[in-house]
Amino acid sequence: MYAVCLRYARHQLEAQDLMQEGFIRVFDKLGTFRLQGSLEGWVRRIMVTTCINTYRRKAFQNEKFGLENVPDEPVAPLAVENLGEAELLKLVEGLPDGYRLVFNLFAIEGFDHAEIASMLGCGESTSRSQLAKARRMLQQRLGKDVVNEHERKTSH
Amino acid sequence: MSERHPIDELFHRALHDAEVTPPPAVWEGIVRKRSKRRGGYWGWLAAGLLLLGSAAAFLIHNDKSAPMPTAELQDPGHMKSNSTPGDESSAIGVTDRTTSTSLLEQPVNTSTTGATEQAKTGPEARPISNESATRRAVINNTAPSATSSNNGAASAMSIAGTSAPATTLAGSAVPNIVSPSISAAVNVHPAGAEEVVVRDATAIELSLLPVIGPDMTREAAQPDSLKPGLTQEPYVLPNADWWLALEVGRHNVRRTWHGGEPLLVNALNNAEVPHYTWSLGLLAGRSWRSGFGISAGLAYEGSEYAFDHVDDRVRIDSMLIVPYIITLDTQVFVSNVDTVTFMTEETRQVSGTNRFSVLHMPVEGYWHKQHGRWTFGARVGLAAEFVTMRQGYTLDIDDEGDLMSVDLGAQAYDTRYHTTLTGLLGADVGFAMTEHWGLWATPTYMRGITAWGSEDSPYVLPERLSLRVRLSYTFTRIP
Repeated sequence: MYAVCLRYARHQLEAQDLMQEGFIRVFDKLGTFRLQGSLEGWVRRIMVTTCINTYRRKAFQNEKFGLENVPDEPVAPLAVENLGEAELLKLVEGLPDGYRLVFNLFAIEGFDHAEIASMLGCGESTSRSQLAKARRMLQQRLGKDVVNEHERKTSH
Repeated sequence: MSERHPIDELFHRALHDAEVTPPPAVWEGIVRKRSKRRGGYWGWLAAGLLLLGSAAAFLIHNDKSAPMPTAELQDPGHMKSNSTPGDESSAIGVTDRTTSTSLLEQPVNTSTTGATEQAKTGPEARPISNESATRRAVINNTAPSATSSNNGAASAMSIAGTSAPATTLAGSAVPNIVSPSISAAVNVHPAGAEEVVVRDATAIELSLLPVIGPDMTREAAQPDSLKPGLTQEPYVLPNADWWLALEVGRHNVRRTWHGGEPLLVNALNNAEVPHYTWSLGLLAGRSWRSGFGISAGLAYEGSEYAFDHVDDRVRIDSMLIVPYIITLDTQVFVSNVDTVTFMTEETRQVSGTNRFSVLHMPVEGYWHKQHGRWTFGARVGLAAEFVTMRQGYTLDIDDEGDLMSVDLGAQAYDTRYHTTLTGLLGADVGFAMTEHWGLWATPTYMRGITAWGSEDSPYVLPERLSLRVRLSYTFTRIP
């Protein structure tokens, strides 16, 4: 679950906070778990909800959810052989809050745009645009060939 | 899946099931925050632990066919390591603190925490998770660590507690050495490794003892010459304490009249002014460890307040008129008017002091939470009130429909002063001056709910804003 928190957090300290908060909720709500479904899925859902709620709060406090003016900084592409979990995690962490949230929910958790819009209280179009920008930013960071290379490697 | 964007696919594959072991500080923080939040449920948790411990003790001591624990088990001296002589905290508390600290400090336990976390993630987690969990079990079984196990049985139970979640969630095969009741306990707390260990450790200690009691560790810490045998019944912390209190109350009272003629009721409400009263009472109660308690008592309230009313009265005087005859020329008129009425308005100012004595019989329930020597809480209750003595004035409507002040000394007006039922709501703040003596302040709001037997006559319901101060003595049983 720590990895889940790391994906949603900006840095490790924030991830630790999220994990603490999430697990405290898990313990508080343990009595409501029906022992029918997967406990892992249940815990994961609570963690994701905790992360979303935290960032929704912060979105109101600090910045608007949609970061339209984030500059597309040109960055040096990474070598495909260097891509491990840790590196990919760092790339996700490096995304702006809004991008990171939508990308996590869509690409990694598997929610669709309608669900994301309902969870975040934004429009589906916002979700789509955030996702597209997140992908573009990651693509820039990874380099154009990296994805194709990765695809080729994993297909073997 | 084939439609997934390459970027999405790349990150999904790499990160969806990724696991990272959190630093030990995270678990420490969770345990700390949990223990802070758990205060309100402490009583239930303690009761649950006691129940589980009892069940475990019963099962172990009655299962003749089960292999006995190692020789160390029969030595009560092993308990020394979990408490210090003179330590006032309970065995459960001591074990909790010791175990959780060591869990975070010892590298082997830290890695176990991570392993459990990984194992929790289910079948998709890496195989190393299950291995770690099992390895932890083996380590503890063969070489018990200094803290989590003081004897063979303790380590055995610790193994079951630690590895049970892994078994449940990740399918790891762990020897079935735990009793069914302990398994159940473990399964409800699968996520917190610390909590599981703590609970099991407590259950183990309790299971070794014939009777559960926090002071067992204190007994074990005594010199051998003073140490009673295990067959001797040990001191058991009482579940509840009786207390007695002397209470003084200061009340701001407003009496509101209801029922009967609206004219009379309004006049009564205007004639009687709000006032302050004193009360003196004796309360007795019983407080349970959970924080809940009940109390009942008897209090005398002396009530003295001003009565002020202007009686408006119209005096009617009639005068008989002799019939008279008026003659005009040849015509004669005879008058039919025979009386003349004179109406005279009279006013009378009536001012006096009303004195009432009220006997209260409150029954209250309360909940208290202790913070060091201070106690905070809330109480709710009902009180029956009897008006025992009255002097002064009240109002009534005379035969002519006027409001008149009436001296209560001359006329009883029993139908107006009934026994009333009052509801009360209060907040308690207490300070323990000594082990037995406590001082309490209770701001209270009381409101009359109903009066018995009022029927058609007006009846009065009091409303009080009070400050009650109590000096209490708690009959705590000291071993």
